[in-house]
Amino acid sequence: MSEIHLQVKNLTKDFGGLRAVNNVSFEVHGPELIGMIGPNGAGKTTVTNLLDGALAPSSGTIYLNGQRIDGNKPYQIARAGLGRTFQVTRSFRRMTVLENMMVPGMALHTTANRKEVEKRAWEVLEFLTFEHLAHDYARSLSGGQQKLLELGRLLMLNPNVIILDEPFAGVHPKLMEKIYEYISTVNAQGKAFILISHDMDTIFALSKRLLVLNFGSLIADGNPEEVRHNPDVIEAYLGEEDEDDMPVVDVYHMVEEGDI
Amino acid sequence: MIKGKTILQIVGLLCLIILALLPFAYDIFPFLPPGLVNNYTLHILIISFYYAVLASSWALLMGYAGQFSFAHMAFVGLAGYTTGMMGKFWGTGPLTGIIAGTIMAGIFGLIVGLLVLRLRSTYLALFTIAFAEILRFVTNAEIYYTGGGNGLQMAPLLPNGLDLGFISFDSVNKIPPYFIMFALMLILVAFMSWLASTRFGLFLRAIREDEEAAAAMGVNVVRYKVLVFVITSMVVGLVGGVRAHYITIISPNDMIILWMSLVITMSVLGGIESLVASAIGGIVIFVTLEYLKTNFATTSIMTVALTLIFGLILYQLGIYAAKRSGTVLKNKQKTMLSVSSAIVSLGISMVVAGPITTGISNAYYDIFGSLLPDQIDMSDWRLVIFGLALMLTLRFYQNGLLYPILQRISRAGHLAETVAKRDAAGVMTEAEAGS
Repeated sequence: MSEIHLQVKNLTKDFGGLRAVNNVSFEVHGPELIGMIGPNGAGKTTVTNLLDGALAPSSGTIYLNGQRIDGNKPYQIARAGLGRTFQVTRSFRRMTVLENMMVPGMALHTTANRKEVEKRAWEVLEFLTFEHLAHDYARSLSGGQQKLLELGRLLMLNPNVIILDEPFAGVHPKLMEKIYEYISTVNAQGKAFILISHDMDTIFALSKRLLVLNFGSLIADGNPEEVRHNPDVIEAYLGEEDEDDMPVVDVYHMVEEGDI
Repeated sequence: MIKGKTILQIVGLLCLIILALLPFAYDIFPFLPPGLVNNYTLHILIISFYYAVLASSWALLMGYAGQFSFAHMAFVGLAGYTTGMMGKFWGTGPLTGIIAGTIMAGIFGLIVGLLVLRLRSTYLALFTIAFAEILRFVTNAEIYYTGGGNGLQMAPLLPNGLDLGFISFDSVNKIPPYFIMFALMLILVAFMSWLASTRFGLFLRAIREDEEAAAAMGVNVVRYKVLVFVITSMVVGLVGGVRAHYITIISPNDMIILWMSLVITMSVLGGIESLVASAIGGIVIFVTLEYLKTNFATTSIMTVALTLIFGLILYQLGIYAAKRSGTVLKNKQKTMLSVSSAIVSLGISMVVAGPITTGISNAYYDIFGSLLPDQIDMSDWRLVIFGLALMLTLRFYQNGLLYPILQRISRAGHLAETVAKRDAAGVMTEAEAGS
């Protein structure tokens, strides 16, 4: 078995009387591509916030590359190798694309040389075919380009585990395909991905393993085929209905047809 | 072709040389008209350098870090009172006092910085107003320590004057303080500009844009937010201490919100995202304010007003005419149009201002039974003018008035380059066009 990138044990978060995340445990073995799904309010974003340190867990432990990170500050966790994007893109709007990329690059090493970081930023921009926009302000980018920029910023952090919160929401189909290509390439380079979405169609098609959350609990963990037939999942999504209604979607096909 | 940036650098350097040689203007150019450079002009410039540092450091705090603070004048006062009281009770000299005052401002900057960590924009502004006002009331109330509303007498900056061997100045001579403040301004603005160009400035801007995202990108938000408060507090504390010793008195009135608003105006009109533009804005605005303090002939004020009105009308007519004839004006042509309408309208105004003023004055006499005064006292109106300028700038030119011009000159040709690059790359733009 490959090494464990991320280990989450009995993660729980209470907001007053509300248990938003309930005893969630999972592991990320090496460069997996995991989808995290769940209906609205299932706790997906809360789990992300707990993982990246924006929220402190009420109980439970998180290990990143064997190092305990729960209770650490977000910037420490980011430097330790866990990067995340936000559901609503949060680029540094009044800074250029290149400057956006420089921030994580410079933050990663306190002694980082500006020239070297800039060189690395250009490499990432080249990888994302984004160079021509390097000197544009982030606010002038389209929604999809902002998602790409967020991905680029994450790559500058060089994290082992990358959590993408709704990476395809509101993105032009052509660009969506492109983003997926980038994810696959980076994934093949040994970085684990957790894709979060409440849009099951996309996630079922892309991920090799799925985590399903409902009311803060992990109700299923397995490959898409297993999850598809898991009665808890069917109930969470469809109530009483038949499993035939579960989405069986070929995203690429739909993209070609222009449905999405 | 000489690049715009080089031109700016040469012009900037020339200005600095002129400022550096100003106190000796008559020694170098004996033919200059008398009254051009005297103690009064030197005094105005000393204070304007002081404001340049304040505006510049506020630009670092607000323009870079996005921390809307009203506490600048409080830190100035804090440092001034520290050195003043040390001198009063312990007999320390200005240098020791100024250093202690700077450190004191830094300590309070640290405390305020830590307390406001979780506060955003409006709440931060309110908090810092409260801090500044509390400090003012305390200094007002503690008459034994601070002298209360009458202020605290301070030793002059150089109590024994300055003797350089070949030339000596007494303690009230303006030339040594002029160079001290001038040097301080250069050093501090250069220091802050350098800071802004390093990772420090980059992270501050990221924090200004989005604190959570900056943290998720590995930026230690707390450290940089507190650090920027400490640094700007110490910078303004330093010049505040020097200024207090220079004018030999400090009073709670130096800390009123009006002066803080003045600093904000300087920074905003100069360009809040540029430390140098803010500093220039500080000097220009302070000198203009002093110039406007005197009485003006009603006719000349009428000339200025008419120039503005005619200028705007002519400019709009030009734009309208171009639109009617179907030509799209380039930026350069627009600039030409605005300059020529300004010149033409100034000419017209100078001719018609006299008769119009007389006409209005006569009408005024018919209605109210008295003529308009020949002179108008501008000491309050000047503040109105700058208040309006601040409002207009905030509404229409959020990057300030000066900074965009400087940027445009220094980046001339850069835009065309970017556009060409994008056209060459084109692919993504097309894909995006549909979305």
